[in-house]
Amino acid sequence: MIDLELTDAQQNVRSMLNWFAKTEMRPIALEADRTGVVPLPFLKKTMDLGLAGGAMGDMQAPEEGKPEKKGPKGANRIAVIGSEELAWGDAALILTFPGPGLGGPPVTYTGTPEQKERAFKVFREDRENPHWGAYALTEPGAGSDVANISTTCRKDGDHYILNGRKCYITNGARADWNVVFATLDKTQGRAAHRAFLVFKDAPGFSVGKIEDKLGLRASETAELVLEDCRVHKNDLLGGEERYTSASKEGFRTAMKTFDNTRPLVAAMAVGIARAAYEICRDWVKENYDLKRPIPRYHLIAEKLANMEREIHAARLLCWKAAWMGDLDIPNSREASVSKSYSAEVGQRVTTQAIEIMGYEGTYHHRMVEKLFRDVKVFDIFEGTGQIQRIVISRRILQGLTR
Amino acid sequence: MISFELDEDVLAVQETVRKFAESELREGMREAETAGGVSDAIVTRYRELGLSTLELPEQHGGLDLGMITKVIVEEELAFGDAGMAAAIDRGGLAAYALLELGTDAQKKQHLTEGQNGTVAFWEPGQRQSLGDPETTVTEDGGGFRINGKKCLVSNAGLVDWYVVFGTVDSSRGWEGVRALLVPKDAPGLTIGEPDEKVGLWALRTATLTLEDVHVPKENLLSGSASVREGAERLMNRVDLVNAARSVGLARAAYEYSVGYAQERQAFGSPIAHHQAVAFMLADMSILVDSARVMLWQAAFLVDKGENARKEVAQALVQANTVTSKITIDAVQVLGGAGFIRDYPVEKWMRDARALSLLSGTDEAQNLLIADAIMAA
Repeated sequence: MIDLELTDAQQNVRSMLNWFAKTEMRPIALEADRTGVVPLPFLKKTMDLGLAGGAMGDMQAPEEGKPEKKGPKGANRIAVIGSEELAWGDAALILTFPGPGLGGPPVTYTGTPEQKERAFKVFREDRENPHWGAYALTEPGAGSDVANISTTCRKDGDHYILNGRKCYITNGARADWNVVFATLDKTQGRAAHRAFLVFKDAPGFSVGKIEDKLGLRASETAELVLEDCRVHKNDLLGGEERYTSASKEGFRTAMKTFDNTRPLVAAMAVGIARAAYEICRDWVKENYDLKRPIPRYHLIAEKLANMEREIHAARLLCWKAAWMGDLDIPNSREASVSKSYSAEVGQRVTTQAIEIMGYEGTYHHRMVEKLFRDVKVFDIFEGTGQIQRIVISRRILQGLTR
Repeated sequence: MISFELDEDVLAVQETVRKFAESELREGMREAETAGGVSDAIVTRYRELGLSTLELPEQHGGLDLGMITKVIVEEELAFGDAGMAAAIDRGGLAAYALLELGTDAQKKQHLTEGQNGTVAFWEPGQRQSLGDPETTVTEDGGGFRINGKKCLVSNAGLVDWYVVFGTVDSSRGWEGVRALLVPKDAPGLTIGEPDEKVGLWALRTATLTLEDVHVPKENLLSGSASVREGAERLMNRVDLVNAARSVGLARAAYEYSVGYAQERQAFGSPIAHHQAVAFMLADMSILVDSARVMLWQAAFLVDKGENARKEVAQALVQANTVTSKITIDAVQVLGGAGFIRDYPVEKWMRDARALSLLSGTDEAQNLLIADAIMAA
């Protein structure tokens, strides 16, 4: 049955996270953006409230103490609802929430019980200090083109030796462990890809530079260096038996993550767009009487109406992709649709908000200029808008979906 | 809850209408376009399939399947042909007017016992939809006398009666608005020549001129305590139908483009494999989805009995915007072939313009949305 409104339970999640976003995130957002420092009390609060894990992985991560249990049926929907609210508060801060982050899903979906326990234990047992997991796929020469990774792994007795560089890794430096993707043999393509659980104390693992960025400045973006990095074969995600000679499981691990996280990332772009739209709308309300005379302010009315409409459409596309994810309906096209559309709407809306507010829109304290900077990367990470269109067009050409 | 799942009975209806649309509408669309109308036989077939009343309440001969089913049906019909979808619907608009504004007796007479009417929405000097008519209504010896002009009336000249909005006192706004049933043979009612339009040629539209048209007092649609609220519910339904037709038209252009791009070779491969074309197809896919999800949510809210005026307006603007873009891009994908009548996309580009203007301009809808935003 078609039902496109929130249940009370979903509404409660939304209200709770909106309250957190308003009272805990918004007040520190501007300073965190300026300084790149996230206050420890804030991180502790996210842990106390059970937000730890981040909107981008926590929701699919196993429940506390029950590493094998799959999430409840509505997890993806709850996650997109929550992501929008938190990103409305501040998108950069979401990425700093302690927890397994983007590293969560590959461990959850493909890790052995022993690996899940090892990876997730720290979040359960140490409630006093923030801990992170991270997802290290991107390289200087391989971003969206996942198949092109050059980081190598080779077997050496009971160990694997990793060599390569990873870049733009969110929380990569502060993480207890990174899920690192590498290849046994670049000429073998995806079949040779492997994912490893690399703990920060692994010999040969080090952090390169921390990036200075356009937006999401409160979030840590790190370069990781693997120089003869030695990890035990038990750190091969899923265990060696998962990889037969013809298997593409290593690559699938990466893709599975994307199908489930793209709608979440898209919902964050929706949250940013909504934040900019609301600030702009309230500013207009204070400064103009749009009703009279209509012809004079018609352009502003038109822009506001378009902004709200597109945000609404983007949100529904996120809901749809998440709903399909919850029902295990293949959703890679819909995930890409939600991601590309939301990122575009985010850019359009934040641009329009500045346009309407004029000079005021460029002032730091109005926050809209920050949102304008923050949202750009949503059309880049987790697959650029162009990559999403490649995914979508391939799906279309394989057979139309209506 | 967030569910986009269609029930079994809706899927069955969708299957039926899809076949009808593909075999009868798509196949016959150029003929209907040239003729400037559809045959009575196809109207009858549409009714026999039960497609004309399925959203109406059971007591009025419907299946009570709601607007959510209606928009799914209309998307499919317009996928066949948007002009014909509107042309075969010779009672739908009036049915909504009766449902939302009529008394039980009027509903029984005109809804249950056969629909054959339309609604005259627009005026040449229109300021605001329905709520601000220049057409005048004066009380006159137990009845009403109507004077004014209505334009772009769908199925004008093909139906038995018209719903006309006029005002008894233009200074009273909605308070002064009256909705009246005008039979086709009422003295003083003149139906103009069919309009020559940019698109939707299969749908006959014309101007109605009302000069001292007299109707008895039973013809006043007085079933709704508030004319404004009834009219808004009517507009919600009509706008949903128009938005659904836009989505169907967009999908037609999108699917045709995908098919063509896979066949047409250039530089040694199908143009669908050229990124510039592939991305256009991807954008079409994104936009059709974006319009449909909004349409479904708006229909869902209307079925729940919510006001949803803003959500419906948003769905309509999204659908119109998307359809204009997709139909233009479809012509682009086909290149020279897109320009000639041997292929359907030039027609769809024209139909998209006509369709999005028949439901009022997007700018007017946006003002309505902006008013709601500012009032919140």
